[in-house]
Amino acid sequence: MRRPITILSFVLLPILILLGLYFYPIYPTAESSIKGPTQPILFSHKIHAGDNQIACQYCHSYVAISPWAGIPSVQKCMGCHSQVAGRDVEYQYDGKKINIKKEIQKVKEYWDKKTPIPWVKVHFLPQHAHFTHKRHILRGFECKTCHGAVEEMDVVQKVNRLEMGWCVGCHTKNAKDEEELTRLKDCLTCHY
Amino acid sequence: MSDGKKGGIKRRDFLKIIGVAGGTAVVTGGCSPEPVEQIIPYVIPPDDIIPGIPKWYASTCTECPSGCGVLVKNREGRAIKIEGNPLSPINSGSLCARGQAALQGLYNPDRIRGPLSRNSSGKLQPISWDNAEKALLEKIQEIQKQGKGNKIVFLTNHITGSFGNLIDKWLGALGGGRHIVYETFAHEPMKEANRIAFGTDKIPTYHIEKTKYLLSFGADFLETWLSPTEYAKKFSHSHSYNNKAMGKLVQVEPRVSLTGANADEWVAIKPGTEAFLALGIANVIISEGLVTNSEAGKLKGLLANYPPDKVSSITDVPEETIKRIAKEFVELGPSLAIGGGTATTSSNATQTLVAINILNYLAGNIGETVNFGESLTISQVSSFKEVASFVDSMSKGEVELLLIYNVNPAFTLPESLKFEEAIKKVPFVVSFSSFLDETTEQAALVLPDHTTIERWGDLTPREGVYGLIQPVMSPVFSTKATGDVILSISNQVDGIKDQFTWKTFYDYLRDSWKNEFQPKLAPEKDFETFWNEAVQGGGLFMQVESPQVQLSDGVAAVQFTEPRFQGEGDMYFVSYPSSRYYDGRGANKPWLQELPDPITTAVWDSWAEIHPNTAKKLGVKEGDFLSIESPYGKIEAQAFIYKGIRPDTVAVPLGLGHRSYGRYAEKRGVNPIAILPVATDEISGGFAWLSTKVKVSKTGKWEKLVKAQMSMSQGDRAIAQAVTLKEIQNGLHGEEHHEEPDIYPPHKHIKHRWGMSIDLSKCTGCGACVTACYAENNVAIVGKEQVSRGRYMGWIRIDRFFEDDSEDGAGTRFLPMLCQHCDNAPCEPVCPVYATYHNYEGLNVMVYNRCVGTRYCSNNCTYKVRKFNWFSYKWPEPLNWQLNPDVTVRSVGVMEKCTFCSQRIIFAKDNAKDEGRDVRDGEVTPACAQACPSKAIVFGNLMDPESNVSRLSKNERGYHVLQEINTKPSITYLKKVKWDKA
Repeated sequence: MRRPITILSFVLLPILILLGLYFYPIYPTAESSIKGPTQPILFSHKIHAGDNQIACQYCHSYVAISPWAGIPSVQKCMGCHSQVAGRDVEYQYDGKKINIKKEIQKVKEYWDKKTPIPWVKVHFLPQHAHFTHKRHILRGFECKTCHGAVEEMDVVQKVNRLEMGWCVGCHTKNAKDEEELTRLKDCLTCHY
Repeated sequence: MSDGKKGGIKRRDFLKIIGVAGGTAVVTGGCSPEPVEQIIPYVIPPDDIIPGIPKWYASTCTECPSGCGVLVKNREGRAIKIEGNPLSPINSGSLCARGQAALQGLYNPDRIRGPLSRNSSGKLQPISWDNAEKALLEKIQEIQKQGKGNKIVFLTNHITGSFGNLIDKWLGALGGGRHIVYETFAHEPMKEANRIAFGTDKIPTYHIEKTKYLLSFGADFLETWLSPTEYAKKFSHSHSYNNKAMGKLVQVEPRVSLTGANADEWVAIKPGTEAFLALGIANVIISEGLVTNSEAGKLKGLLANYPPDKVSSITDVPEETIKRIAKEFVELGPSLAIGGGTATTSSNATQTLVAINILNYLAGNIGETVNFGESLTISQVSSFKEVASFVDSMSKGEVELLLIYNVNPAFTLPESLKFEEAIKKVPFVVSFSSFLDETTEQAALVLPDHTTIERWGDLTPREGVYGLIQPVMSPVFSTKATGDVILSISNQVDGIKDQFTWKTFYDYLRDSWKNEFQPKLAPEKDFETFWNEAVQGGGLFMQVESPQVQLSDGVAAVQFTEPRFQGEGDMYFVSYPSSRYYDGRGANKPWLQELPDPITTAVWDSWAEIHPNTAKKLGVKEGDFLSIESPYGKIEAQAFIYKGIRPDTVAVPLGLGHRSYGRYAEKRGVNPIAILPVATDEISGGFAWLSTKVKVSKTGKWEKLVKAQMSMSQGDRAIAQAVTLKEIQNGLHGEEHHEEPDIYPPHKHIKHRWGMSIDLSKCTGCGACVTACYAENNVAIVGKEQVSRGRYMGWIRIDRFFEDDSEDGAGTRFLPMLCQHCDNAPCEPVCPVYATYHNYEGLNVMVYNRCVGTRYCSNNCTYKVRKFNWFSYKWPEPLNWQLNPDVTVRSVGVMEKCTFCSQRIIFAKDNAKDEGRDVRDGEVTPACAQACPSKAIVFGNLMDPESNVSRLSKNERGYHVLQEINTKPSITYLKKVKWDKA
């Protein structure tokens, strides 16, 4: 006997699964980790923050005073690179061979044309959430707590998915007492 | 069940399928792809911008001639909010809705985006600035060659200070052209009356704040009269209940304005007869010996002609009322009589104001509550006579070049003056307007100026207030400061080059402050310090003492006449300036269009106010279109039936009925100026708005009059409560509300419980808070159609209730209604997804991304303050530039409501934490409380017993709206205090 449920399982279920697959994004999940995007200049955080030990705040200078860390102006890049032209050597950049001097030359080109460098965003704050760098830095968190060991990365990539569960996990772990836990777990902390 | 086997789905199977579908949905929703986005750095970072941190710049508002000081909030290079400048003695930190809406002028999608020139087919077409300036230069050179420099006319609004001086100097250098300063409301009769009575043609500042008895003859000082934000503040000071006392306001006018609605008594006088009432009152004061003024003798002869019985028959005001007011005027002092609005716009306007001056003089108010030292510069604008003669000279072909700056006479002058025919006779018309309004449509060349937010300038609204205007952001469009245009052209005209050596208007402005203001105001400082202080503070402000003035003998010679009316109709026609659009210049700003009118609560359209008896006689109900016919034309508007108007009067607000002025203003409502004659005040020559009797008839057409609030009365529910002065002086008791027992334990709050108090004896219903909320919280504009479906989005609204037992509109109660942040909120338990909840600081939080739009919360809300997004509303580019980046822009399917400006709470807490302290009382001010001119709203921490709001919440007048429902709101209203019936 053909029960309606059988029809449903054969017709409706595949449709639902197909729909699910259709909407399922071609995008890796969790910490399978994505390659960082290709930037207009093959900029290496490893050379800057790692090899040359430039403090993060030298370039991301608003991090302790504003919700946003800020990215350096082209003028700031040129502040050093008008002196530092780079060695004319090959460099292994993320499995690719690049010439450092040529990459630095690109910065100068942007500067000469007085156009901004269109960097590609790596860290996205999910919609409907507000976040302030300032409070986290002033509380004493290091940049790497969220952004990972950037000083070891040529191409910056996300090491943490900036999602609510991850945020709340950290907020829960770091609350000093019951009161602070209430405050840090309140929706209004981020959603307004 | 056998049925279940045969067909249909069993419950268990159904759940299985739903389970799968649900799972799919989770996978889908779990990780949406992130967009590819760029971060664009500055090439060279500006010194004063830190991304994410707002900067405030002081400037001066130019939306009306009051000249309030403003602070403009700038985020990442964009102006996003305007607030009052606390240093300005005019508005002391508050700002009206019109001033705040200047942002929607700046970002208006219909702004002229660059210079335009009329091509051969008669259309305005974009051209380059170089060519545009060249076109003007060539015209000027041609005129100069012909020696017709005196045939240039520069028509501007009331611009004082450097820009006005530059224009005068420029016209002089070019051969003596005329500078006409045109303001729609020029207050000429006031100037003239003061000259006649006191020998000074100044317009004084009135110290309403010192007044205990204010007798206002038609002056709508809460809406448009002289300086509304300033007077709202002063009125609140004198009229709100404090220390067992309060001031009294008696409003004399044929139609109850917003000011009248705030009055303690309405005297429904016959239109235009106010002079006689003032004289009648003066007569009683003298004949009953209420004052012993040495100069009263001078007036005895004059006043003897106006005994109360005679005055009563002229004015329709009962004899007893005249006698009582006379007595109160002297006894309840310090008193003050002022005149404006309908009282001062008929053919006897100056006479009325002379009579009012006499009253003030008799009561000894001159120098006390009338200050001629702080006189207003509006008295310097051109007279209507000059404007009319200029129109006449245009039609005679005597104007070669007309330059128009910031005025729209084609809209604000009566059609019967035939401005539009006249302007067609001018060979070359240049407009510097930001908008294609009715006048700019006539121009051959359009050289759009920056808006006030983008340019340098100065403004002196009155003696002692020298406001500076500074650019707060770079220009949105390809516009150029008109001062710069004048200078760059002058640099190329032979013969005048040497007189105009400044490169930019900024240089000129600095120079004039150096040469004019500094020697006068601060000669001891070096100029850079002086200038920087002035720019930082938004100008220089000082007090000016009132000089002594004497009543001049000329008063006795004034002939008092009854007003003249044209037209055969049987109804007086009152057209009054709108509190939202002023003379029409506000009509292109959607915030103002959607701000409900304080009296009718109508939006996006015009209406005609008539008395219920008149309506009955005409067989008219609300929404019926009325035809209003004068000898000069006919308009049609929907009826609004209102007790606050005389049965023989019909009133239509000004400001709408634009033919062109952008998408928000065009083809909306009617312009009552269209049916007015060119009538003037006999003595001063000022334009007489109240000069017509009209025929009113029913057209048979009906449409729903779109209003934000449908009910007129609060019925038997005590929503907006009031007590009489006697009751409260005797002590309020017997009204204590007993706390209901609760099953659940009370909420725990940590450190703060945010709360608010709203003093109904201070709230005037002006609506500044509503616009402030729109600006701060990205509240969507929904348009007329959606408002008519009840989808108005305002988070705070002013509920307006007419008193049921009262025969008139006076004593109308206004109640700002917003989310009450209830401790026991009905919305919270019904939300199936926990999108709204009570947080640890007592806020009723709304989490947009949790909300699935069931609307249960709204259905269950006692106060109907939750608003649902039926659509994703759009802000047409570049209006969206104004959006506050600290507040989420909500999209379709989401509920929203007042958050107590949680972003401001977070900001203040963040600041306090930086400094290692707690948030101070008064440090968090929601946008509504910040804007309020009368400071009716106080916000703060209810857990701090010392805070302002805590003290106010325990006030004897305090109550919660609908407290019998036991929602335990965080907002305490303080009952309005009414005078006992005389």
